[in-house]
Amino acid sequence: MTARRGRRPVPRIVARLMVCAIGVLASGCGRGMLDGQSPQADRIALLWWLLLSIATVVFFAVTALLGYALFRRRGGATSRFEREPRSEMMFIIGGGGVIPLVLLVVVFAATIATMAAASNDGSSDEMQIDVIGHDFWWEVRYPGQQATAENVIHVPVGRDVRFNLKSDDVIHSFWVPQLNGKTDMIPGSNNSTVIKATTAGAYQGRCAEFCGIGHACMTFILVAEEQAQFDQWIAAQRARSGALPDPQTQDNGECVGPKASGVTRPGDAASARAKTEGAP
Amino acid sequence: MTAAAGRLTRAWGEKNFLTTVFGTVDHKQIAMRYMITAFVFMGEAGTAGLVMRTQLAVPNNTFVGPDHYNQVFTLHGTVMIFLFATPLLIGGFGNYFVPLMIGARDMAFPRLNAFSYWVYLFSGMLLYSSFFAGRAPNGGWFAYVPLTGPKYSPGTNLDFWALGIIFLGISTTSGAVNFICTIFKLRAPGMSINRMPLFVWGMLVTSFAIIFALPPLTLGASLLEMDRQFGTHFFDPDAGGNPLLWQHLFWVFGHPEVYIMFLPAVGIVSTIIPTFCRTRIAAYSLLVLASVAIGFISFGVWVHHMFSVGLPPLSLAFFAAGGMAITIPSGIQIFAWIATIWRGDIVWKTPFLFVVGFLVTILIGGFTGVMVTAVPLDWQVTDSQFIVAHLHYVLVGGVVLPIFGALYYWLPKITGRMLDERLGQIHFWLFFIGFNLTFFPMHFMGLFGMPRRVYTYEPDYGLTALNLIATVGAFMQAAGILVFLANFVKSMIRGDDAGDNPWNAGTLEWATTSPPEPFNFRDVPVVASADPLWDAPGETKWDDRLEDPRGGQREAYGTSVVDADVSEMLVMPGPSYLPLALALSMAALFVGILFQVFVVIAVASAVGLCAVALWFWPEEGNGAAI
Repeated sequence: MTARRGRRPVPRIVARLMVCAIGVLASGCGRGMLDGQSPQADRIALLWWLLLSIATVVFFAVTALLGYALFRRRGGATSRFEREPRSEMMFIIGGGGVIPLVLLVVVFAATIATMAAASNDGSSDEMQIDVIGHDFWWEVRYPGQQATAENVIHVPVGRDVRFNLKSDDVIHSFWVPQLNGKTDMIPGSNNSTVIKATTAGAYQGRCAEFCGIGHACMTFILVAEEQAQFDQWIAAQRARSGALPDPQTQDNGECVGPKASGVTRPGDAASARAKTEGAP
Repeated sequence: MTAAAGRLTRAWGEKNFLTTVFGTVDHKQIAMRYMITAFVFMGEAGTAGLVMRTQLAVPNNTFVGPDHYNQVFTLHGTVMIFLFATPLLIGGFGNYFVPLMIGARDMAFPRLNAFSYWVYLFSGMLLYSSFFAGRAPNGGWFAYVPLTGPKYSPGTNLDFWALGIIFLGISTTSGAVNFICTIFKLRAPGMSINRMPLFVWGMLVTSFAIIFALPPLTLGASLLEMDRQFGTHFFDPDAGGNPLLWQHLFWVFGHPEVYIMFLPAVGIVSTIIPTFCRTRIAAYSLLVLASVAIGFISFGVWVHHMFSVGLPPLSLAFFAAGGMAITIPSGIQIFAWIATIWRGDIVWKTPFLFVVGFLVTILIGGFTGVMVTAVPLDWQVTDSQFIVAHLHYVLVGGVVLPIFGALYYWLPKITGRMLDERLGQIHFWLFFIGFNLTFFPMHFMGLFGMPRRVYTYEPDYGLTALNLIATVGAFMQAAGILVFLANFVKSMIRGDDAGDNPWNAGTLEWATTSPPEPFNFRDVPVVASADPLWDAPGETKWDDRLEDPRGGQREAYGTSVVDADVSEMLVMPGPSYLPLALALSMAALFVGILFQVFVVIAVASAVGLCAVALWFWPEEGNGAAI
């Protein structure tokens, strides 16, 4: 009786939480990792939902056990655990050791499978783009096409693109949440990551490793478009004059704003760096 | 006061005010200093947290600029980890209660203990003075090179950090050596290793972890200082150095450090639960094994902080498995606690409330911990607000909640006065709800793409409401802490008398007066079980042979490591100014290195060497054995 009365409100709370969670997700996740627009991001999001499901079930199971242990009616009689120490040991080893072990095997297998899928080797016709991190902007080069860009990356939609990532100064990290996880850009070493955008659109990208005073402003836009538009854009980039771009950061390191419109200006923040270091 | 107590007080008490303040070696005095100092640091670092949350309350806020913001989050992390949680748990609770729980009269090396405190105080002051000099470190508590190297961080900001960390490491390491020796050699007769309280086990494992985890940090910080001050190139990629070397050295320390804080907290939980459930802890041996296992495994998981640096898949898989393996001993602990509660008869008091809060939050921190060991998922969430949420669920939910539980539990022993139950519950609910309001939304912020360590964000990410909720929660937590302070003041003014054992607990710290006399126990307990005070009357015996100290010396039993059979008589050292002198000269040495004043370096070194020589000068009659 007690147990049934105690159990009743729980589903209602669960339901309410689920509704809240869905509401929050629907309103906000439009540009995050859960709204993937590439096979890589989709696989990672799948792994997330798997882990979240396991965690949710285990959380409610364990808190229900805890709640029962706390609030069970104590009629003065000794508990089963006291009468049978072996049942207590089985409860602890089974619940705390064996079940987690089984779940972890599943989680580990899913991790390895996702890792293989998300860090795929690309294909033979993959396109190469070099991205070089600077304080606090992104230099983009299209090898073999004599085209460059700053803080804007255009890619053809539906094609494997390998980003060769380097840094010119400190450690930065290349992150487009809707397309793939982060890959660090480390001075003195070469990293790469493959992205295949399946939907045309403009995606927010940003530096994810703390890199100094302009870190918050170090963003870029990745535009995935049809091959014809992409070719036009490349031609324009090839023909443009090499004027010095506007900085993304002000002298005190604050972002040039407001950036609410999603417009990111190309930039070179040497002045911000010079200012904070007191160098000429 | 009996005649025996008078004789013991003459042997163990301090002679006058000056020796008390500057020369005391009493572990309880030193522990209280640790606690107060750690709380002052927490107040400062907590304020830094509030500054960050205020800045992030609304998008495009201008409360603090990026430069100030970077200093504030660097100090918040550095101070909370190094100057608050670790010293409070180890130097504060460990120092006060390990000797009491094992029935000892003091720590094994009382002067080293005093030295540890002074070094902690001075290194903390060194770190914090940078803030007042307007040169606070601004490279994050993890201080990644090359950003923190000489080229990108000129000025002394980072030198304050690196030297402060090296200096503090001396304190932490000497404390760890002291605990290992105390726990191995000074346990009351009969307290064989399978009767040791679980908090003492936690301290033992943590002390070993410190001894292995601190050297990489000290080495890393030393190499960084050499790069910065003497022009070496350990981390400079242009000259053949490697920035990833720093990350390995830092996280080989940094990950075990999480468990260095977590294991004593877990010990606190294993202490509070049986007391308020009126029953012995379930699966004692499994809990001990779990602590030891976590201590070992914690050294095999550091790379999960580095999953996105471009390591080969095989090593990623190895460290993913290592990180997940920690779930098994943690699961055993959770179920052992639930079983104890199940079996027991619950007394709902504030310490227990905090422990229940801990059990719920650590589950969430544990789940997100598994998520970040799942490599590809980590590629998405690392360096995002998701990690901020995760680490605070582990460190606030898993460490700070037990700390508050321990304060309500143990302060009556320290002050002799009870804290107010009603204020305690208000404190708990304010802090617990505030904590969840602050950090739960951060999971979503990370999933929506908000990185860490950014001083502002744009309003078009669905982040505005989440951030505002988090800021409200942060101020609720602060209000909870203010209620605690009020509670403490109230208890000091007119709290109920605690008596020896207000909670009817089973461990030895409750067998003496509150607060304990300088000598802790008049007679030495002879222990026959893991919860001596719950034994049938007469089972725990009291050995009165040390009641009359020969020649007024500080006598204590030394016992064997496993069975705790009395093996020797130790004569413990009395008060001394030398620990303070040595710590002061070392502080001067570090300041000299910081500003490269060679006269100061030379003088400080000379004074320090003299202090060491005097400290080790053989004394007549010291160290006699039976």
